[in-house]
Amino acid sequence: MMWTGKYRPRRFEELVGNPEARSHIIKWLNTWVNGKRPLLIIGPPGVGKTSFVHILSTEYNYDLIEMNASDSRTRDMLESRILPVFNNTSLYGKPMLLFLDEVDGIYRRQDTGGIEFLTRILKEPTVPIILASNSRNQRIKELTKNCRVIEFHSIPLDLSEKLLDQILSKEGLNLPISEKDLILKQSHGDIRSLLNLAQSADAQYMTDKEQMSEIDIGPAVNAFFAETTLEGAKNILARSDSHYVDPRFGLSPEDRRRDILYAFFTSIISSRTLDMNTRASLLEILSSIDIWIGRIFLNRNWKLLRYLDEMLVNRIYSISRNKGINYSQYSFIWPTIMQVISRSHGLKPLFPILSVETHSGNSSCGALTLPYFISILSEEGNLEHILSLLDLDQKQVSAIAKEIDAIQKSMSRTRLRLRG
Amino acid sequence: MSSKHQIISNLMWVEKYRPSTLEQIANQSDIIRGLRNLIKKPNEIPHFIFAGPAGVGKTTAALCIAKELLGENWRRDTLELNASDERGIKMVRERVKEFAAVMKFSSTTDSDDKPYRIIILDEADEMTSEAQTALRRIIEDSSRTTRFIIICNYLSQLIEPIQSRCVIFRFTRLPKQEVVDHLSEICRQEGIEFDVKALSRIYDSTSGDLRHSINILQSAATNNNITSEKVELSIGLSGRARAGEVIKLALAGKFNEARVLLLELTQVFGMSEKDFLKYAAQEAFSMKLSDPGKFAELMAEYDYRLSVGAHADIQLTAFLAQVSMLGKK
Repeated sequence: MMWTGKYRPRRFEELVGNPEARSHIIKWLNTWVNGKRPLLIIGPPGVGKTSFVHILSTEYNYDLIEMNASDSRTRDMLESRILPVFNNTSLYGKPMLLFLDEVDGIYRRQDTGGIEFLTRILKEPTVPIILASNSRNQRIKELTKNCRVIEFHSIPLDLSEKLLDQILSKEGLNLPISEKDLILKQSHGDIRSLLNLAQSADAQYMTDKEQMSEIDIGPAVNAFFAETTLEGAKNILARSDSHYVDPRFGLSPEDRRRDILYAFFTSIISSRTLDMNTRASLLEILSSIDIWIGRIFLNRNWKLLRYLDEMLVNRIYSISRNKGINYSQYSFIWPTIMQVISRSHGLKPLFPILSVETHSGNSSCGALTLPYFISILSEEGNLEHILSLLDLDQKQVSAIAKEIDAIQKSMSRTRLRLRG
Repeated sequence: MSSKHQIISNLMWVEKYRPSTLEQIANQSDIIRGLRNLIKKPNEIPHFIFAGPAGVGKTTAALCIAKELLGENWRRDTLELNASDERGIKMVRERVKEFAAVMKFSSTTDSDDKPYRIIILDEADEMTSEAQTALRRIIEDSSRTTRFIIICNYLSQLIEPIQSRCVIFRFTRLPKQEVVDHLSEICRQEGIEFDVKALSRIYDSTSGDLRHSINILQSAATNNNITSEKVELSIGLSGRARAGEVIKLALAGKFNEARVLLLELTQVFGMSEKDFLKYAAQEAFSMKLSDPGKFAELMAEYDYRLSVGAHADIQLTAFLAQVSMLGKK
């Protein structure tokens, strides 16, 4: 049986997430009077909109009249289903609740006149009407105007995780953490998708991991260095959500994060437990593979990409076992990065001025002129005045003043070293 | 003159003492004579290539020519580009073409006094060969209105078609005496007491780069005197000296400290990875290394890898790891 069916909630207590939105709706139904504005639930898939309405109708003993995208919703069709409901408030003695699910799936062309009809009846409802939709698109704009909108949001990670744990324990399953992380990440707070992924992970974990969808770069790098067989390591690399890229041609932060060579680099370099030899050997391997990446991207020789995984895994595998290498996204610790960013930000406004006025390129200006400019400036009395004449604002001036201070300190350190 | 220019040249001796005529340029008399002859007839001047090491007067000579040919509005009619800052074909196409086209248009109105404009393209050997090929076309297309002065360290890095379209001048490294004399002259004008030994130490530490030498001189010239100790401190400030420190740290096995200093140089001081290796080599070859031959080979290997590889920081970090291993032996 599909887990989505098996674990569909049957009682309020089994629902997960959106408690406030749910209590609003309960209140709305309990205080419903003839003519009260219908309710439109908007929310992403798999967050419990339909389940909630189903439970609502059973718990409060309503007769649920439901129509969703699987029904044809032409004007005629809707009229024949809805008008009887409107005219007879009770079919079997129970009050009725009209539920129009997936209203964003009503297409003007196919569902001829459907929207117009709905809009009309929404204006004068004689039974409680709840609509549900994934988005507020243009098609249902007319409908939103006549409804009170309640939003459902994706299920937060901690709740999804709790639910996943409950289900796995009910199934008597023990998935590895990387696998669980993957399910949680890929389901994006969509419980239906979480259930499907968990079920298929269960099935595939036993049979063929290869079929499993991609592993995020962090867990993949961790799993790669923890893996105890070469085949397993290859598998993980093949399944990782990663790619080979050449930063010389520009990268988005996301491209950068998924850069497998760089992820290996930052992880290796951040590992404090590596001995010098291993570190140098691993970096040498990355360096030589990087040459291939450079060639491939420069010459657009994409077919050579197919060799990179094999090169990377086979060369790195044996010397990186049991070395305690863990994923790290950055090649330096945060305080170091932050300090460098703030200093570079501080000095940046000086570059265009100084390199233009001294007729030199940025790099040689930074190496051979900027340190002296700062040192010379620090000998001048009214530093701030001079800097302000260069069209620098107060913030920039104080950043540069800070840097001058740092350089003077480093100068006195050097002085001590020379004497000592 | 812009006010920024005024402030920088009041502040920095490199600008204050930058020659404003060809004749003031130190020790390149053959070149100056040749240039003089070629710019006698402004309507017939060719494109130029100035090749040679850093800080010997290439850019200064180009600026002097621009001033002399274009008169007081030379800044308006000169485009100074640094190829290493705006690398690639895009820079050539957009900036150069744009300038050349605008100048062509305006030259119809005041064509009497100046028949052309000047584009000074510095560090042109940093350009990719595609960019150079595009540049070649632009040189041809705009030759009616624009003169190019192309500046590079290594002539061999320029493609043949560009070389053949220009008159080439090879600038040579300045002799020690020349630089020391020049620095002494600045000291005299500034009223600074100096000892010749300190000035000669400056020369040694800069491989004769006059710009770098003057910067060291000025920052050492506190309290109206220059001592060897102050010169030493001042030398240590440069990015070049600090690139040497990165190597020393790595050799001493302080791999992470070396990395942090390298990060500071590239990120805070904007030093390019290529320049890092260049300065590191200059510094390392004057250190006492246990196996200089091996070290040179290592540098050559990673210099090559840096030029063909994709990730500069992976290459340089791998290099430092290798240097650490070398230091251990």
